[in-house]
Amino acid sequence: MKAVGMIFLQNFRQYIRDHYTLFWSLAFPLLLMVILVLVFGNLGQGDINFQISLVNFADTNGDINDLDMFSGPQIGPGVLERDDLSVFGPGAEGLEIESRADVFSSSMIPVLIEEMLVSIAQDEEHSWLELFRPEAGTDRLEFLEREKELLREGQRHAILVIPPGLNEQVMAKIGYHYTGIGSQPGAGEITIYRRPESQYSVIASEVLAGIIGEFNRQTNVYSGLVDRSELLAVTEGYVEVVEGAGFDFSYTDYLIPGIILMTLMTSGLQILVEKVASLRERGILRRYYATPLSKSHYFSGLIVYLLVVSLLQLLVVYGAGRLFFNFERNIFQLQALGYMGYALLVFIVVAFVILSFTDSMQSGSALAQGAFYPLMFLGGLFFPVTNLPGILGIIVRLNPVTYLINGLREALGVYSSPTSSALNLLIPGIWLIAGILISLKFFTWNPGGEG
Amino acid sequence: MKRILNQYFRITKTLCFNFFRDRMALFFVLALPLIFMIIFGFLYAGEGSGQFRAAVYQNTAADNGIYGELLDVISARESLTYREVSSFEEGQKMVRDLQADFFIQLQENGLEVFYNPVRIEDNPALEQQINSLTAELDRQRAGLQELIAVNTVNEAGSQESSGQLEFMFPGLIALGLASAGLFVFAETFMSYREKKVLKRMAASPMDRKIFLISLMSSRLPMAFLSSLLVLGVGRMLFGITFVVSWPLFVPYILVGTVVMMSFGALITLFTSTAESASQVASIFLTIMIFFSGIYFPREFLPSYFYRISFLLPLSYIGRGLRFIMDVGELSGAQFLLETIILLAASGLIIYIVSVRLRWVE
Repeated sequence: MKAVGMIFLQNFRQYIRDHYTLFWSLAFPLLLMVILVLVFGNLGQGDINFQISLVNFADTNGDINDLDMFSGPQIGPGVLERDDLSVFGPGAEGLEIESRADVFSSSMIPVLIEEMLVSIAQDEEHSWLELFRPEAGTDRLEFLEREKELLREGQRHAILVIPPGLNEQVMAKIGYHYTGIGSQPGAGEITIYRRPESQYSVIASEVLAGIIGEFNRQTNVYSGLVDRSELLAVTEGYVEVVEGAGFDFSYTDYLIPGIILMTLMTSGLQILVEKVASLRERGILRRYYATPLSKSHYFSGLIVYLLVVSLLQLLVVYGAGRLFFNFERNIFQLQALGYMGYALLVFIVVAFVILSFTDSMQSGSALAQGAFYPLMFLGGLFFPVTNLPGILGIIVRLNPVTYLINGLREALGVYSSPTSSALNLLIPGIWLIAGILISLKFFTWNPGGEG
Repeated sequence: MKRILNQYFRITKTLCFNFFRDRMALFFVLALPLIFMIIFGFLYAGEGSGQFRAAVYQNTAADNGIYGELLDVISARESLTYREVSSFEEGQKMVRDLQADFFIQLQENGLEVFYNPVRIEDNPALEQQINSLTAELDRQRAGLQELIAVNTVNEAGSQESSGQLEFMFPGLIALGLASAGLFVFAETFMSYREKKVLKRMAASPMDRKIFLISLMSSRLPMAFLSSLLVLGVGRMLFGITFVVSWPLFVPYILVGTVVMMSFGALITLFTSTAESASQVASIFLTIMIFFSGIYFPREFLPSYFYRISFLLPLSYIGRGLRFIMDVGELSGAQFLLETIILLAASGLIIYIVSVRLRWVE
């Protein structure tokens, strides 16, 4: 027992003294947690600021208050109600539209679209939109070219261009509906420029397209083309991520179990592989075994060391999550601790499998790194991995991390496991048993020497 | 001159072979970009070309024909498949278990659509699918007219259908260059010094400058190999062909590797052993991977982290490669300016380091 304690102490002292190992095992998971929460947490919570340019070629004033002259066809009875405009977005209620006739003013539609976007941009509660428009007197074509350049350079997320004649095209189409004279005119076309390689740009263009789609629906209603009651009412929401637990979801809660498993993987696949491979390579283990120290004592000391390091990592991640990200799940309950212990065991065995097939520190570390990234990214530690084709889909299904993280998230009440509890134990269990058998057959503490 | 060239080629050849025997170096320069490419490539490609899966449930006895029309509209779309479920709970579970991308419930008063909140990145595209689906249903049922259509134009150089997948490749090439360049001084040089290899070399008639140039040159074949592997395997697996400007690409690989070498050299000024230099370089590389737009676009970063990204050389190398590979982001003038500044900074760093670098501990 004393020998086990000595081996543990020796390793732990080395761990504390090695700043780089401390960085990789303690600081790096924290850094990753901060980055991922700030990056993807923002995406989920709508805390995004889109830089969008608007170039309106259809109107010269761009001021809704100037539109008091009616020049379009007066179609259909009724009076616009201010509440009707709320669908256009926050702030649209304030628009001064008094009569249905206004909707068909010569530049009403372009200006209404412009004012709608301006209102959203000025709304302090929903400041997801920063709008750029040409100043008075600026050549709009030149402005558009400049904005395209900024879009390409990543300084704009999207450009919305309202073409000249949009109002006339819309009016012609509405007129055709009522009169049926001539050939059916095409729809007015708004162009949205985006950068497809930028996720934000794609989202911005999709949000803009959604706004224009809704505007199209409302214009249909106001012009009497369709009855509001005939349109499908659509409400959108999220599923419960834990059955019966309500619709609250926190990306931080989803992420932290992933970070915890990653740190356990670091203990097994990186710290353990590197330590044993290094001691083997330098012949230190061989010298150990020339002393009365038995291999089982050394192995036990190493396992105690890994358990303590893992516990330390767990406390650091949990503490930071609790302090800075309001993570309030109880990770010290039996089921969660059981999954974490099980995961550590699996990773230790995988590490021994890697050590079984490598004889130098270099090749051991390379193989461990090569296993680490696919296990991590294809295990769904940070984001769900779904619907992958071919071999990657198979890897996801065979990956023990997929099941371990599902089990841990369910144990913590963060996310109901997509896989059954039996499977969450069985697949890592198969890895465990297969790994033990392989290690028993091929692992040696002294490659090139006695087994 | 001939003697100098002979010396250069012989040393470079030896160092090259030595480098190709280094398994960790091979992993970081050749394997890591490929691993990332395969993982993220299929993740991104799956998003773009895969079919969206809907779970559909009719939660109303009133059969006004909407349900049938909804199924018809979904069936008519190549990008959508559906599965009917027999309860609200089953639909929710399918989305939760990632077996469906969204769940549509038909109620008497309309449609309810449920997404998975975990799929943060996918949900905007899924919402667009629903918008388009309901607009089609309204057209068929209520005679909704398309008064205003939206024409989406991709503005990204001449690279056709440029998407996240294409955006990723220049970043992966930059990662290979960073791995190839960063450790030349931070690991190899320091390790040679520790093992007293440099001391013995210094005692020989070998020109020290030639050794340094050879050391730097020895990483270039690996950097080129890594870049070509990313392009070739990317083309094989994902069918992506870049409009690469080769007269710019080839020298830029050299520029990128040298820039990363210079930052690796800078590390040697603040570290005393090969191990610590190598660890600092690894930490620097990891930070750059996260903050330079390799894992995810830099614009995802919060503003303060985004500002940090401007201090990292890998951000600029990634941008430069995107320009050369025609994936947008930079203008020609900016590319030129950034490349000149990078080269000038690297030249200065290498000069300072070479003056202060000790060959013997």
